[in-house]
Amino acid sequence: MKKTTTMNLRILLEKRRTMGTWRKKILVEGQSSNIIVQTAFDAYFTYNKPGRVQTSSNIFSDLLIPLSSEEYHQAFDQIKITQLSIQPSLLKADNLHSFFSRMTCELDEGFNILCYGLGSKRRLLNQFAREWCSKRGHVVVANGFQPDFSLKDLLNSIEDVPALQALDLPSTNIEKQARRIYDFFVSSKVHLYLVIHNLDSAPLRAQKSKSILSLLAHHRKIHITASIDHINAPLIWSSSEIFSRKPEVIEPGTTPSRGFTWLWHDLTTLQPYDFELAFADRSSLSGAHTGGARRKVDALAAQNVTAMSETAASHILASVTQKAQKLFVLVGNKQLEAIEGSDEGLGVGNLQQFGMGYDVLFSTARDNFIATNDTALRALLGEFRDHSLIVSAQAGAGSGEVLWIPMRKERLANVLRTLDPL
Amino acid sequence: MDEDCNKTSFCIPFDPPEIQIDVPSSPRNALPNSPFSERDLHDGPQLRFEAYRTAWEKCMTRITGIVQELQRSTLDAVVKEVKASYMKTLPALPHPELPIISVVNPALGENLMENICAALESPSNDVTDNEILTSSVIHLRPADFQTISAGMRGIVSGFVDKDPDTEQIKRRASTSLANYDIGTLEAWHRFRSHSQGNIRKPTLCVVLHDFEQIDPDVMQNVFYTCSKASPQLPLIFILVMSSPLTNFINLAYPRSILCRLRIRHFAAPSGPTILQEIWTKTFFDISFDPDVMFGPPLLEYLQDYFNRHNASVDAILTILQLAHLKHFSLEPLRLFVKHTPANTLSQPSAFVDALRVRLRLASKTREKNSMDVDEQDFRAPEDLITAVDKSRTEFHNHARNIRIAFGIIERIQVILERHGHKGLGWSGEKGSSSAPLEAILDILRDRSGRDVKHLVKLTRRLNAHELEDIIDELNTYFFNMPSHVRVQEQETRSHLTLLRSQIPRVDDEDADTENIQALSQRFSDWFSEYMNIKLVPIEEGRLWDIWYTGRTSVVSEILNPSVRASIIAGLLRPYEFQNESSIRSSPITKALWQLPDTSILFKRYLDSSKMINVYDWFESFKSVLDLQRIHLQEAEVSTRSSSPRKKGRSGNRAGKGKQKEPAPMSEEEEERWKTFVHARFIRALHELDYLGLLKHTGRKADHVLRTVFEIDDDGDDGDQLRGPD
Repeated sequence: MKKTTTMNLRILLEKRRTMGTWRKKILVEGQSSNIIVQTAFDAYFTYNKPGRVQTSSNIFSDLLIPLSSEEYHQAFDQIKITQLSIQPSLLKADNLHSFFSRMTCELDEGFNILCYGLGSKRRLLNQFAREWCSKRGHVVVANGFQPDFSLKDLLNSIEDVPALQALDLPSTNIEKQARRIYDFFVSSKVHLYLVIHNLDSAPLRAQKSKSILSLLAHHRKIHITASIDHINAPLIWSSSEIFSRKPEVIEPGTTPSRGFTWLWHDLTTLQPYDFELAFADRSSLSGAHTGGARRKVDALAAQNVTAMSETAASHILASVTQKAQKLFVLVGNKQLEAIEGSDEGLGVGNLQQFGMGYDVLFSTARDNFIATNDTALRALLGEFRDHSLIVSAQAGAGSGEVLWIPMRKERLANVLRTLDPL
Repeated sequence: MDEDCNKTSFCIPFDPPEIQIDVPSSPRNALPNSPFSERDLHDGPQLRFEAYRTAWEKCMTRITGIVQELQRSTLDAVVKEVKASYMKTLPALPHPELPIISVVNPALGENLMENICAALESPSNDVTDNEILTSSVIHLRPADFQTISAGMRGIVSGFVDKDPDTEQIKRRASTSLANYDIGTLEAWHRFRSHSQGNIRKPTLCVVLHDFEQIDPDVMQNVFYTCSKASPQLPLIFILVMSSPLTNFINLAYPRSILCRLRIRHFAAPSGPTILQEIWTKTFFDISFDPDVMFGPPLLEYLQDYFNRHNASVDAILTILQLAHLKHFSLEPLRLFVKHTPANTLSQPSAFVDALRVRLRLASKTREKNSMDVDEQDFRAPEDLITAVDKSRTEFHNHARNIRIAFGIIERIQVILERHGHKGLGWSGEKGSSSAPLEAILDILRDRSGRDVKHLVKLTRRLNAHELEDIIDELNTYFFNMPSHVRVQEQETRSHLTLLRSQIPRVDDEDADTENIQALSQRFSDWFSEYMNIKLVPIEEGRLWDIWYTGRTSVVSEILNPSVRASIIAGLLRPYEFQNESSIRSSPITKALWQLPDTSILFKRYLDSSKMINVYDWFESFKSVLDLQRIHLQEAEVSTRSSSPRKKGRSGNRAGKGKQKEPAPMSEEEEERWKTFVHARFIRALHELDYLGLLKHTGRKADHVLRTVFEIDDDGDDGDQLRGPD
């Protein structure tokens, strides 16, 4: 019985394979005869089949040591030179001029503008703010992509506009501040242009921020131009918010209406997001994830211990005693020996395995007259541990503490070379 | 500006351009440059902007009037209910009831609530004894109801802070009630009514916008607290909802709360009738001549948008405004929509030449069609002005004729339906609510012949009653026309009056069937002939495209964008964005290694299953970059060895040939290359993450989930595009 089932399964698999080949063949052969065309829906169901997903057991962070920020900067400088750059036709001067003039006209006609599409839109929108908007009114630019951005900063910047500085500004409550700005522009002759980079960033997604922005966005004399990058950003607004039109006349004293009146423009620049991601933690895979509101805290906490740069190490080493330096050289040399002794084919692997047991280190240090007792050794190590130049972990049951330097082979060798005269 | 990169937000001061005396209008009021700018006037964008403003304001004023008319019944009913809320309390109830007025308003936008509040706050003179003079209104939104105390604070401080008398009073925190305590509001209300000496206390209206978005758990506690204070505190809640479900509150809230509320429902008009009402009364009403007429594509788009996406007046207004903007931005000649500014035609220019050519062409066509036109060469500016003015009048007459024809069809249909005939099937089982709009579409597309024929056939068999009613209705229609139109239709009117006078009295009907039949026949013939005269396609008029959009398509991306498709196209086919024209020629095929890093990584992403092992992804990315390096090295070598002219496009050969071994690297170089690739990988990965294409999962170490399951169209071009796997 079992055999029959296996046979059936095999036949079924064979059939499926044949079908697959045939299907692919049609797709490859017939650009003209698209009999079967796979759609995104097909792909969704193909990839979301129930059952386990088979992936290999390689672990990125174990197999590759995160690069230091210096290495990133060097690499990014090199990328800028070697990267193939594609210039979309929209960025040509003539097209850009007509695009900006269209945007200006739409803003003046009571719409707000959202720019979407692949690529950093920061430079273009700043250009628009500087060259077009500033000739028509006050301009405030908000960098929503910065992790410590808050709507309060935007409102404070609006109140930095010279005309508003003359006002009495008693309340710092964010809602009252927004209302004060709103009321000021009812009677102001000069308009206000807000340019907001990344309206889909976490601080601006919050209900409260949305509510305050929708108040400003519904003002006849306040015009918003914003950019979005997230693929699901349009879900932030309901259709009534998107369409709600600005009131033709604002009666003083009445409760203002709210809404956005968005018009959408495709502004695909294909430019890299280096500026927007300048605040991302490059040593973490999820460093650029925009989901969490506590990104800044995370970014600070995730100072990856393995990302120690040569400069940082030499700074620390320069400020410690000679004995401590000797201790470092001792640990470093042992670690290098261990790495070289290991199988080269395995790659860098986890550095912990090349670490040194505390008891071994203590006896070696005593032999070399670096530390004569446990307290002295711990005092020397303390300085390094505080700066994460030496890290330790419990190696497992009974084997005690293991210490190692979180630097890859080449970097460690370089650091040791600089200490060599010792 | 880069020095401001570390600031989260910064301000650029207003820098007004120096006023140039020789330029009459500032750049503020201008439309974007026309695509035909070579034959535009130097101040064309400004002039067209003025023309656009005039046309749009006229259209918008009309639509606002129609919308106000639609709102009127709901507005009156709500205001009446609010004013009488605390006058009709039922005696002997276990709990005092808190008046709740739910206004379901999916289509008419914020404007309805603004008008209701304005009516509530204005002291009205015509109040009866049972009604309250005025109300104090505050507006709260879902953001104010995150917690119970925040919600209560919103209500209490909303009223207290609004009152100018209490603004001056300083309260000490230790001796006064908390600002979320309903007691504060009670005390304030007592003080206020006492100081004003009114016997009838003003009610306190709380308008809750987007009520469906407020958490019922929070809101039911707020309702409970407020109902405890009722009726001493005359609070009334007006719930603004957009879902057409009138009993939302009954479904979402428990009975324990519902028993403390007295709920009244009001529903504002919604659905396709609004679009029909606005369109017919703006563009097909004899009493209104819009400056610009819109063709079938716009009406179809509006219908589709209204049914599929957003059925609101705001959407109609926005789409119409954008259609106006587009119409005036395209063709330079459209500045003549309303007026013919003489100074624009006095100087010879490409603009004047273009107009002259158009007029000559039009007269030639007319000549060919043996229409009565005098041959002119339009040399003098005066001739041009006269011709443009004449074309404008012709167009408006033409459009008016079509409106009259539609009005007649509509009225005959109404009378036929009243007498139990199906007529054109506008109502009933098969008829849809958008049938009149379909008839308008047929008229604009010059396909109304079938409808007219059908009506001709039906009107031939009318009985005396029906004929009488139809002619009476048409007479009223002609009578109510604006006087300048009525004068032109004098002949038709007298014809109809004559017919009407010949219809025998109702009691003689049986006696004279033949006579009735003959009269019906005459009416039917008149109708057929009249329709032939009136229903002439607008496109046959001279310079018609100045006033009519015809079959110009509607740009829908600006309202209903495909954000997702745009981002994915940018990743998969970045080179397509270099193309100047929007018309797609042959697709640009590039090898995988020629794409930017993020695109390479994304292509690999599409190849993978729903969960991606980051290390394997890195390896596959690295293999492409290795290939890229070889190609770039080759290109560099060939540039060095041969002159640039002889250099072939090595890129197109890429990947097809056998993969070559990379030039051997020293250990240091290899280490540097690895670091470089690693950095590029992380950079590209972060960019994809930033675009929302990755989901991090804690299920497996260093794995990410895909969020997008698109198909890469180029993917099946096979291995040619791929690097070595």
